[in-house]
Amino acid sequence: MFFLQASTNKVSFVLFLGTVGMVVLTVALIIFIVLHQRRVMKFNRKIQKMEEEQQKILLNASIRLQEEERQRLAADLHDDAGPLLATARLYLNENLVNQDKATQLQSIFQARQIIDDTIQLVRNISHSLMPPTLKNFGLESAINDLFQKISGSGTINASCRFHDYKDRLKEEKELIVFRVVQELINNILKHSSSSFIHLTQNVHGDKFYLRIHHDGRGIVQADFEKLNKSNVGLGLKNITSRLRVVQGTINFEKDISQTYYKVTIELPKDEAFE
Amino acid sequence: MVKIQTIEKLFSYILEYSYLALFPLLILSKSRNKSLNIVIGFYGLTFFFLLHYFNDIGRSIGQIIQTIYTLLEFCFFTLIFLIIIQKKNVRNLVIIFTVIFIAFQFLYYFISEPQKIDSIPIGVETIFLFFFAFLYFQQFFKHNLSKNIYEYPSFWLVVGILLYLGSAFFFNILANEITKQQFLKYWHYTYIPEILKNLLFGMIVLGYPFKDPEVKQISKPTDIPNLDMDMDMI
Repeated sequence: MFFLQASTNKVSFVLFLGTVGMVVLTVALIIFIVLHQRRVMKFNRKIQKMEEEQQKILLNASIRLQEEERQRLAADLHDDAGPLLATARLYLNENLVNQDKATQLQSIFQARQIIDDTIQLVRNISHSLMPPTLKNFGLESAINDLFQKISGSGTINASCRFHDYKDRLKEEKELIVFRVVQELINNILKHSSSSFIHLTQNVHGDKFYLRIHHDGRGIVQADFEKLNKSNVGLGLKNITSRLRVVQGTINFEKDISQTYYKVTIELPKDEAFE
Repeated sequence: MVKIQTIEKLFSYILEYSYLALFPLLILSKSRNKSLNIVIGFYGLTFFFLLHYFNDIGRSIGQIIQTIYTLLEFCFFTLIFLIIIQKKNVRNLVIIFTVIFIAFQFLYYFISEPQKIDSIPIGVETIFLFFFAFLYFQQFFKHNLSKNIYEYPSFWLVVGILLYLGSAFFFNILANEITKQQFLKYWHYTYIPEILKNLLFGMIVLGYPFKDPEVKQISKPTDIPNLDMDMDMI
């Protein structure tokens, strides 16, 4: 035993040094904990601020997109429906009663033709706002319809398969998913130069999954996040904000074979649609 | 010399009554954590009586008192840790260590010779309580990062325990190696962190933090103008 052999003075010195050392160590430990916690808090606040900024960008993008949609609608109505109705009005002017029967019939026929065109135009605008297939028959039919139209153009092979869609998602959720799919397909058609698009759907546990495959140029998750933080890529920001509403996520990746890209949408499955 | 003895006596009285003061502080308590206050209150009361009568009965049944003192101190501090640690797994771990310590204390009582103080159990107690403090901080960093750590009353409790145990650790370990004169000379210095710990405990019983910043920031929904429809107008 060292301490038993040591002189009392030595023990006193060890006692003094040990006590001072322990006090310093304890105080240093407490100060370190306080400072460390402050640093962690500062870091968390920074992350929170960044998230808020990101939210702001998304909100701005969503507002801009809404405004663009309104402008497009206004332009469609003003540039297409307006002139058509004005032309129809010209055919049906007051002088028509003074004209001979053949001209009257001709004018009425022309006006009817124009009104039919206008009806079709208004229907198209209305369908672009809310696809009737989606409202009446659900997401599966609406996506099938969309893919058939794309395939029908002959430039790209588009197909889809729903594995488990017995229980429909809620109507508003279906619309959001459909808009996201529309935006993704639109991007693929515009930028990827792919030869095929294939969509699959499935349910696993309490999650609903949609996956789009294509063989063109694509992006991976890192690119998506970069675009989301930048001022470009309005459509992608819109996808993020829409998915956030339904607590969904999106993942962009390249297949292991490196031959095609995959976009996976995951969202919580809700109770069966009535 | 007389002057020094008077100061030592004064410190001794301050310490004793700082323990006793923790109990009546319960009446003035504004803290919401009632169970924590009760533990601190009874801790104060118990240790006041132990310190007050320690010298009288300590000579005849010294080893029993030493064992009870250390055991009770460990149990009260463990109770505090059990209250401030939220996670069940960690609390279970604390309970396991407590059982180990109690078993060790009993074993040590039967195998050891009477000494000035029970250095080994105090050393083990300090190490175990430092470990509990580590568990507390680990849990704290996992869950509570919205406020500064010093705004939490539990932090000051742990600081009090750490300062008290840390500063007296070497003295308690070496107490049996030094002469009686040296023991009596240095013994009173351990009162300072002990008094500080009691002050911190008292502050918690009184309801620290006295102003909750979270409560201050949140305004009642009824305070926001023009948000609700005025039902009387309808």
